[in-house]
Amino acid sequence: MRIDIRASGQDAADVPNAQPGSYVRRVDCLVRHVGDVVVLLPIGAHEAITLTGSAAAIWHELHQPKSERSVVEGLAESFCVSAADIRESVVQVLEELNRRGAVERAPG
Amino acid sequence: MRDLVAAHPQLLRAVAAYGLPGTVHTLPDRPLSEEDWRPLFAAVRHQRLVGLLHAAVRARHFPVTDAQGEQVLRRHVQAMTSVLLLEQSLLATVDLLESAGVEVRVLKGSAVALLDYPEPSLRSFGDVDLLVQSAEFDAAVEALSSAGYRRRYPQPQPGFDRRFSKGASFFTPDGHELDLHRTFVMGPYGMTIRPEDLWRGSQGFQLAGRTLHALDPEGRVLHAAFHAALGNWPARLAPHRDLAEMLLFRRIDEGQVRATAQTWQAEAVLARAVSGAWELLGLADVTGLSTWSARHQPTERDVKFIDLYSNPQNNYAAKSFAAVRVVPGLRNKLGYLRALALPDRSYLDQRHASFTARLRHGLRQSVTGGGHR
Repeated sequence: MRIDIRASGQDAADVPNAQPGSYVRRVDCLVRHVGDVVVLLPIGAHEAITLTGSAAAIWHELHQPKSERSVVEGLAESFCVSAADIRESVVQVLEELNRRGAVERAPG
Repeated sequence: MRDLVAAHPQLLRAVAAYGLPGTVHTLPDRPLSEEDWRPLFAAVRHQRLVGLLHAAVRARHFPVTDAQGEQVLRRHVQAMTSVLLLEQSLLATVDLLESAGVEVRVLKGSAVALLDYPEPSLRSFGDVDLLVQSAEFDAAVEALSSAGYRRRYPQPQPGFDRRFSKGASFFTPDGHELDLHRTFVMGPYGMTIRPEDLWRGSQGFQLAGRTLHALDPEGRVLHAAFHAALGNWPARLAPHRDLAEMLLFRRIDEGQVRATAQTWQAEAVLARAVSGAWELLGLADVTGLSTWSARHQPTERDVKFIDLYSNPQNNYAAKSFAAVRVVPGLRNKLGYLRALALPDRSYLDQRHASFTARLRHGLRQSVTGGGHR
C-alpha cells in the first residue's frame, strides 16, 4: 500500500520553539483564508470566528509563536502606529482568541 | 458535448476556469449591469464557484461594483464558515468510525480542497463524503446509527449495501449530510468498479492537527471523472474544475488512470469527463489524457449506460434495473434482483409507493433508455 502524507491547509505555528507564555495558534483550529479575512473554527465550537482588518493581521503575526509584546510591536510596525497606542486593543484580541480556543499560550 | 457546453452560460464557464493556464474564456472588462449580474451570481452560488469568483474579483480580473464585491465577499465567508463546520463534522465522524475499527478514506470536499487546489478556499462543498470497504460497511452503518446518525433510506434487504449499493446517506447529529460510500456511483458503472482497487494506496493530509487519508492522486482523478460525467445533469462545473486542477497541476500517472478505467469498463466515463472539462473550461493546453479523451469512441453499451445517468427521466429504479446486466455471476444477479423485487417493507415505505410501480417503471426505463438529448 502506498501512503503519502502532505501537509496542507494548516495554519498552526511551529510550537516546539515557542517561548514560555508566548501566543501560539492552536493546531486543532480549522482555518480558511478569504482574501484578507480569516475564518476560524476552534475544535468543538459551534460558531466560526471571522477576523478582519487588524484582527486578521494579529492572526498573521502568529505565523510563529510570539510574545504579547512581539505581536504588538509587529502590528505597530505594519500599521505605522505607536505600540503604546494599540497595546490594549491587541491584548484584548489575543485574550479573546485564547478564550475561544483559537490560540493558546505556550506553557512555562 | 455541445449540449453540455450549452447548459452553462459562457461567463459562468469563465468563472469556473478562472486561473487555469490556456483557458480561452474571457472575463468582462467592466462591471456587469445588475440585470446580468443577478443570474450569474445565482449560478455561481449554485455551482459552488464563489471561491473562484472571489479570487477573480480580488485580483481585479473581474471588475465589479462595490455592492457586487461586497456580495461576493459576504457569500464566500458564509461558504467557508459552512466548510469549516463540515470539516468539524468530518473529524468527528472519522474518529467515530476509526474507534469502531473501520478504516476510512475522505472523498471529494476537504480532500480535494486541501490536496489539489493551490488555495483550499477556492473549493467549497456542501456535505461530507467518506469511503469504507465493502467488508466493513455494515460495521460502519452500525457505528453511525448507534451514535445518533440518521439514515435517509433503509437498504432494500439486509446485506444489500455491502454487496451492491453505492453507499448510504445520513444526517449527522449536528444536521449535516454525510454520504458513506462503498463505491463511486450507483447503477451499472457502480457495479463494474472494483472497490478493492480504491484501497491500493492513499494520500494523507493534515486537518486540525490530524492526519486523514484521501484516495491516491489517480483514485481522486477517477472519482472526479465519475462525479463529472455521471453525477448530475446538467453536469456540475466544480468536478470538472477538480479534474482540470489535478491533470494540469498534479503529478498524475495517466497510464494508471486509463488502465484502471479500462479494468472497470469505464473508459467512456473517463473520456466523457476529461473531454467535458476541456470543453467547459475552454482549455487549449493538452495532456496525454485530454488528447486520448478527445479521440475516444464510446461503445453502443456505454452510450446507453451514460444516458441512464444524464437523462433526468431515469431515476434510482431505472439505474438499479439497468445494473442487472453487469452484476457479476448468476448468484449475485439473483440476489440483486431478489432484493430489488422483494425489498423490506421499511424500504418500500420510504422510497416507493408499490412494488409493481417500481418494477414497471424500472423495466420501462431500462428498455427504452431515455434519449431526451
